[in-house]
Amino acid sequence: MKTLVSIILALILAAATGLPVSAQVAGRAIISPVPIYPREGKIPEAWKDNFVFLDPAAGEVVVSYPDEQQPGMRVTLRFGRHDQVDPVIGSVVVRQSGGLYHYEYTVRNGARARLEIKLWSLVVGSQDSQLTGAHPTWRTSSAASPFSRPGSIRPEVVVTWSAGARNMHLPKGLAIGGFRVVSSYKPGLTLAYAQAAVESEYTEAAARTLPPAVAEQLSRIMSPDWDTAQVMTVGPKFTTGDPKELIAMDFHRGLSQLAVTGALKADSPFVSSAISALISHMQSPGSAGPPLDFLEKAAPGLETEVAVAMKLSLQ
Amino acid sequence: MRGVANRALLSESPEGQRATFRTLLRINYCNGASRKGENTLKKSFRVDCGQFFSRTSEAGAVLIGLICLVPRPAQAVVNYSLNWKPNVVSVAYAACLDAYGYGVPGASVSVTVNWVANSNSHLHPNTSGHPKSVLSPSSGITDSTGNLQMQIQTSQVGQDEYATITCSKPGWLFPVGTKYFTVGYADVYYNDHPEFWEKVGATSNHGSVFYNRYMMTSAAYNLYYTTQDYRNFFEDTSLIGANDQALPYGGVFDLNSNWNPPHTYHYRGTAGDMRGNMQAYSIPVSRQQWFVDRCTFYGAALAQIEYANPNDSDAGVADQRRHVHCHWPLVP
Repeated sequence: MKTLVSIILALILAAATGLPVSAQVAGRAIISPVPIYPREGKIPEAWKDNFVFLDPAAGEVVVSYPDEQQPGMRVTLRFGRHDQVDPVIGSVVVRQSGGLYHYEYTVRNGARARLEIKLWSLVVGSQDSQLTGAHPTWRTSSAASPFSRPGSIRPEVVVTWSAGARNMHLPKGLAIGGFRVVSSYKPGLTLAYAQAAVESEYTEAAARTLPPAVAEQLSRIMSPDWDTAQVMTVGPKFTTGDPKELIAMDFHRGLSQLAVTGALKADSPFVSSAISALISHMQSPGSAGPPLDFLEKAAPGLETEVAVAMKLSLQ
Repeated sequence: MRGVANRALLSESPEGQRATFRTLLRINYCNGASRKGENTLKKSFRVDCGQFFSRTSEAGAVLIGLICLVPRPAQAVVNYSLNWKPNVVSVAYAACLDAYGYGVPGASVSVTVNWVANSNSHLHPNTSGHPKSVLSPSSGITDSTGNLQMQIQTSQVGQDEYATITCSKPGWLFPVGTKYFTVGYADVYYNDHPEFWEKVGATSNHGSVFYNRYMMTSAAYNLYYTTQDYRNFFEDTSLIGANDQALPYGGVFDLNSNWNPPHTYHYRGTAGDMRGNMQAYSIPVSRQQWFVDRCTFYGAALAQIEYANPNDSDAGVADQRRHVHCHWPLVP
């Protein structure tokens, strides 16, 4: 029965798109800082100066370079990629009576995940003396942000939750809540990222064994920019002293990013109205901040989360 | 049991609500709810998320918010943090992958780059000549390994951009790929000291006075100390009009909205201009050389009075653009 339904759907798709029925639906079109590893593992002469490759089929990075000890042979290593997860992060933020903001998160490892989530991190504004993070079972820590993004009002730090034992990792399709942050910072759109538990971990010790040219190429693809699964969510970002003009610009940037990447629909009533209002405010700011009458247009889900953050930070 | 959990969600303390919420998530995503459980969950979702804005109770807001966020579709996982500095060349590889993740040889791949309107407070996206990063080549046929090597040359303009990757090959259907990235300097931050400075320099094309004051930390300290010394020496000074530093991402600060210089020294977040035209909060003409000398004392690579006229005095200046410009060496 399922096969029959699939065939019918394929025929409908073919008729709608004008494509031949035999067309193969391929995986993806991508850009990478290192080349794709050849399917048969045979590296052509043209790639002789390339020692690091991406193997999307295996979800790994392949390192292959001439073995100085055995001429004609190659050293081949494989390291797991940490972006083989599909984080879906939901947030709720509430302003407490003492002026602190209480953030609570749920994390789901979505349908596109290949591996379990072993940790996830939230990028937040630095120098917040009130910042705390907690979870009943995952370990909480903080460190300087591994990312440097142009346009930040101030340097950033990350709050990281680690599962610890393997049986605590978050498998595909499951969700866990109870991740909490308390901060004096008002909410804005920020980065969150998750990392997978991999079998072959790239370590400092492994890095030391590599020739410098190989290590340099490897650093391109193993950097946090390329080796984490990132989403945008709501998190502590603005001090009470941050001007609304800066907050408006930051929300404009975040909404634009979400619209371009398809995480939010650019033509939704909420997104289009919000972006328009924010641009007007950036051009001609008023002391009261931008009009927020578009908040009521927010659809459930991420739009509502963004709307709540805008209400708390811009009103 | 699920019905009991759902009732608890509506009645317990905030702590209890969170615990129950986790239980509901497990039911929803892990176990596959029984028909009875499904009904219970659907019932719990019959909450108007619009209520969030009319709720005054914090516990109530948490409750509704938690319920509203449960049926969330997945976001596309995107490398939001990718960024390149302006005017640099990097190597990249475009590839068309089959359903298993292997490169497809002989596919036609094309990559186009677009800018994101109004990013980096360039609120004039449609003025002519808006540059963007350039790919070379921007299209071609994937080789035997499924790769097409290309170079990306970023523009001088700091802005958000995105690449759209399109693959085609007879008999294949490739979804279009998107890669988001930012062109700019990540080591410049908002730099204002309202106790010293009156913000000036708003323009409609680059926004309010809040968007022209980003600076690298070391230069920001030097400008701060220079201003502090000036105010200590000239005790009758209240505030000084602080004009352009750099835009939030740095890069071209096109005063004429044409994506080109002048204002080259304001690309990198190492420079600051102080008002010197005898309008409100101006450094008086008679004191401007003192400020210049103090910038030099704090290590400025260049400190000078710009748009000066020989007849300028504390009574008035000929060119309203007159200002003190100081910039400091780039500290890696």
